[in-house]
Amino acid sequence: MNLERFTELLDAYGADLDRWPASEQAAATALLTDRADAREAQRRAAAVDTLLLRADLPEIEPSDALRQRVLAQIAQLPPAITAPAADWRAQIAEALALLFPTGRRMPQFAAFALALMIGISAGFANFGLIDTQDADLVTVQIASATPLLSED
Amino acid sequence: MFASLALPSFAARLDTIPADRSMSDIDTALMHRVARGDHAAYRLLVDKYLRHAVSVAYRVLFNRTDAEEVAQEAFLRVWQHAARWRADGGASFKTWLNRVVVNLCIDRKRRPGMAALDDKIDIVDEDGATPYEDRLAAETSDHVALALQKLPERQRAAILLCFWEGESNIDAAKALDISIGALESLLIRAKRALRDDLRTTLGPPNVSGE
Repeated sequence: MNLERFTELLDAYGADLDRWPASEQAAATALLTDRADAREAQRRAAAVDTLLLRADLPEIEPSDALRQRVLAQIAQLPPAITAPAADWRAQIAEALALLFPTGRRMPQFAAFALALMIGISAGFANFGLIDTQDADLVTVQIASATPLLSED
Repeated sequence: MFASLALPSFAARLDTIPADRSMSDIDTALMHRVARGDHAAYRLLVDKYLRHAVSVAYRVLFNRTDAEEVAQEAFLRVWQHAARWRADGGASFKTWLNRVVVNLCIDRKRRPGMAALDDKIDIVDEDGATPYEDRLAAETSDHVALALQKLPERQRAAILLCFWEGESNIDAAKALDISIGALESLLIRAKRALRDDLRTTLGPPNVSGE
């Protein structure tokens, strides 16, 4: 990266290298390490950025009339999804997202743990059973092998 | 070894980066409900983001009536697109809403008969008793707003999204429907124009460490 490209990127993305495209950060850091004029350009860009960020841009308070229009405009519209509700995994993830908003990974982890628990429970519930065809065969074998026992 | 190159004055910069992921998760859950026709969830999103949508539109259009119409249209799209809004790159709701608002603003500027960018910004009516620092900050804000107003709308939208809204270059390019290279070009021209304008009105910025 040369100084011209560096100053272009300073203008495009500002002096904070964290805001730059990841593919440019290493070369920019190397240039900053080597060249005092690059560091000077970054300091000047930072001063401009600070000035701009200090400014309060216009904030518009929406009128009550606008709010009413925005709410009323969808009153008679059909929903985006008219099919039955989303599948149970999406519903669990959605409910967990509302219950545990503090951790991005929490809902996914909780949903995974719940799914795992259900899977294990289902596995235990079925443990020891054999399929119907085999069960019939075993019944026939037992019945034919022990005719006297059934009379006892 | 590069830690010493970090700029300590940039703590304030973090304010502009939408990093509240927990809010993003809540917004996602609300959008799922909106998609199934939940009016209460829609109302919550309106309460939370209508002010933001109007303000972003105003900063691009500098016309209150137009900004309100854009915000209203943007929320209509929230309702209509709620089922597929994440299909396009997995952006947060706020990023997606910014994209919709800016897109609508740019489309609006293309319409024939659209008012030119000659509306004047309401300059803050300063009270004589306002402390000097407040007056200076208000003057700086007015100068920056005026300098922004002079930019062509695409440059203004680009720098608002990337610099003030903290959106990624990818999301900003999508909002403007242009390539990353074209976005960079808009950003460079916008920043240089702002800098030159403010240098004229406020003098050269004070560079820390000088």
